[in-house]
Amino acid sequence: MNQKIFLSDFWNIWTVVPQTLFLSLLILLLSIILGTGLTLLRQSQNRLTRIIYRIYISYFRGVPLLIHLLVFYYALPPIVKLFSDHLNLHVDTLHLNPIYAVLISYTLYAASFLSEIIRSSFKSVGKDQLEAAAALGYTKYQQFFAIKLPQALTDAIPKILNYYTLLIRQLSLAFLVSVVDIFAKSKLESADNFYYIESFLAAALVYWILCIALTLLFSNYEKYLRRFERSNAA
Amino acid sequence: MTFSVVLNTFVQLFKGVPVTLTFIIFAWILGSSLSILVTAGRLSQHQWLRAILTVYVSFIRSVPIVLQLFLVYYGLPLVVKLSLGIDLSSVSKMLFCVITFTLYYGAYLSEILRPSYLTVSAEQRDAALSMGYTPLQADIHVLIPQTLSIAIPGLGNEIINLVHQSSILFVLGTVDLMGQADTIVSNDYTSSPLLTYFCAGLIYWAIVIILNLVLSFLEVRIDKFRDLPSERSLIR
Repeated sequence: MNQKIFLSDFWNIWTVVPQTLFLSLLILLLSIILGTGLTLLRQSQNRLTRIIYRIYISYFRGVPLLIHLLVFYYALPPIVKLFSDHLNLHVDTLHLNPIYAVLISYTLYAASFLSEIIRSSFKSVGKDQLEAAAALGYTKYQQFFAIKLPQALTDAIPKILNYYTLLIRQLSLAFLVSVVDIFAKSKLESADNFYYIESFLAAALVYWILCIALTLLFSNYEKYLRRFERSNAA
Repeated sequence: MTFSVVLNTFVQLFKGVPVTLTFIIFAWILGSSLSILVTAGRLSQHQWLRAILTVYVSFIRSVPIVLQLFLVYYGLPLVVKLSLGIDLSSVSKMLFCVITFTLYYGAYLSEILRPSYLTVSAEQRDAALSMGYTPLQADIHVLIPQTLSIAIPGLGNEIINLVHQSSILFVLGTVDLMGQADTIVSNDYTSSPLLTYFCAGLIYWAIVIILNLVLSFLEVRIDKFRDLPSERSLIR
C-alpha cells in the first residue's frame, strides 16, 4: 500500500466527479421526460400502445444494463450512418463519440424505472383531494396544476433523487465503452503505474463520500418538501 | 446474417448459462445467509456491532459492484498473503466473484429484511410476549414468518438484480453467459458484436421472465393470508 500514490489517485479522481455528476443528471432529466411519456402510453385507451408499453418495460427491465450499453454502442454507428447517408449530413460515424451510446442506453433503461415512479406518485394523490378541490370550484386545469401536480412531485422527487445516486453508481459500467467516469478514471490511473489497489480504494472512497453527501443533501431536501404534510406539521 | 449464424451464436452462448445459473444460486444462498446475520447484528443490543455493520452496509451501498469486484480480486490475495502467507493466485476467479456478491447481497438484503422486521415488530412482539412466548419463540413463530411475507417482493426484485449484475463478472474473464458473448466477440472477428450481445440479452430476458413467473406464483402462495395488495417494482 503506497500512501503517496493513493493520495495522488484520490485527488486526480475528484477531477472527473463534476462530469460524472453532470452526465448522470443529463441522463436523469432525459429519462424523466421519456418516463412521463411512457406513463402516458400506459394509460392510453388504445390497446396497441399499451402492448408497446408492456414490451418496452419488459425488455428494458429484463435485460442487464451492461448489454443495453454494448448493444447501443455497436448499433449506433450503423444507424447514424444510415441517416447521415440519406440526409447527406456527413457525420463521421467511424469516430462517433461513445458518450452518445451511454446517453441513449442509460436513458432508455432508466426511463423504464422512472415511469413506474412517476405513475405511482400520481396515483398516490387521493381522489378525495381532487373532489375537495372540485367542491371549492377549481377547474380541471387548476385541479391538476394546483393540487395534483405539487403533491405528486412531493412524492416523486425524493425517489427520483434516490435514483440519481443509483445512476452515478451504474455509470461505472461506462468504462467498457471508454467513457471516463469515476471508476474509469481509477482504472486509467492504475494503468500507468500498476498500483491497482491504491487507485481502486481511492475510487471507492470517492464514491462513498459522494453518496453520503448526496444522501444527506437529498434527505434534508425531502424533509423540506414534506413540511406541509400532516404527520410532519406538529 | 443467416439463420445458422444466429443458431450457432445461441448454441455457444448457452454453454455459459449453467455457469451463470450456478453462480446465481451460490451467490443467493450465501448472500441471503450473510444478510440474516447482518440483520440480526443490526437489530442487536451491542452498539459497537451496530456501528460496524452500519459502516459496512453504507460502504457496500455506495460503491458500484464492478469496483467492489476489482477491489476483492486485487485486494483479497494481497491481504491473505500478508496476513496468512497463503498464495491465492491459482484460485478460481469464480471464488472472488462469489465472495464479492456475497458481501454485496449480505448488505443489500439486510436493507430489505431489517425494515420488514421493524414494521412487524412492535405490537406483534408485545402480543406474543404477553401470551407467554419467550423472545426466541416470538421471533420464530410470530415475527419471522410475517417478516418474510412482507420482504418477499423486495427479495424477488433482488434476485432479478442479481441475475443482471452477474453479467458484470466477465470483466474478470469468467466463462458465464456474458463471458461467452465476450469470448465470441474477441476470438471470432467475423462475428457481429451487436448480434452476439443482443442474443445474450435475449437469454437474460428469458431467464428474468421465467424468474418473474416463479416469483409471482410464490408471492400469491405466501401472501394468501394477507389481503394487502403487494406492488412489485424493481426500484431499490
